[in-house]
Amino acid sequence: MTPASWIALAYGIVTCALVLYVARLRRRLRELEEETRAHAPRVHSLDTR
Amino acid sequence: MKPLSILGAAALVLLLTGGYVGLVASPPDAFQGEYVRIMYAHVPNAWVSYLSFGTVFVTSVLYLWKRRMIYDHVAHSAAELGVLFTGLALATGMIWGKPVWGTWWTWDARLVTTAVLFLIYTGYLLVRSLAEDPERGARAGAVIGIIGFLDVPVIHYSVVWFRTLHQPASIARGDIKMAPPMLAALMISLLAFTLLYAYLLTLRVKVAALSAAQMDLVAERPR
Repeated sequence: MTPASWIALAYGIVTCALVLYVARLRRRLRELEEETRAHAPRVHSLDTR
Repeated sequence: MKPLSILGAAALVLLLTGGYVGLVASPPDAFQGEYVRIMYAHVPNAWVSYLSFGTVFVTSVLYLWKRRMIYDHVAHSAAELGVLFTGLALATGMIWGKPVWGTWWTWDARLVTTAVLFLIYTGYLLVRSLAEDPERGARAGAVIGIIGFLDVPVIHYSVVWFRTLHQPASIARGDIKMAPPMLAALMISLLAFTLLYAYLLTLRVKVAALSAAQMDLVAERPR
């Protein structure tokens, strides 16, 4: 393997791991926010029209 | 734009800058040649793992003292990040070690103590995921988090206390054994990873707090 291949391997692993972790966290946060909104008490309108 | 998005964007810009400076603008090393560029990916991961476990230590002490769940959320989140960054530090270290030392792994004090740290906090996450009662899990986690942190100074000084293959610290108090362009590249990467850590920790704590709130909601719901 050339030096460039070793460097690409190291940077590639770090980039993939971080991108996947950020994507997983953001997806989980979005899901939780949606669930929280869905379970929030409904506010009824006071407008009688 | 939300403050969290600004933090994430700032971390991304600095990571890209650090990547460019480390891979293109900084010079090769006189002995290691181009392989030195792996340092700009390896050292920041190791630094952030110290930072993560330092956060676990402080917030675990605060949790045991004050018993406020927010400290536990921060400790649990930081432990997860610490395991991720320690794993990446070990992986990049092995990739750097193979061409430079001629081996992926050696039973060297720095490497072994770092692997032990990884195992301690993997155990921490396992205990947290197996605990049925969140408060018992938080208490057990806090104890493991505090005791596990004792390994961090051992790792840091292992290159001083033992005869190791791993090089000693290049940046010590009042003594910098690094060419200025390399130092600049490393500093940018360290700053970028520190910002990334702040971004990830904030995101992970939000997830932990929302999950706990949902669990409380489920527990309170009439059956």
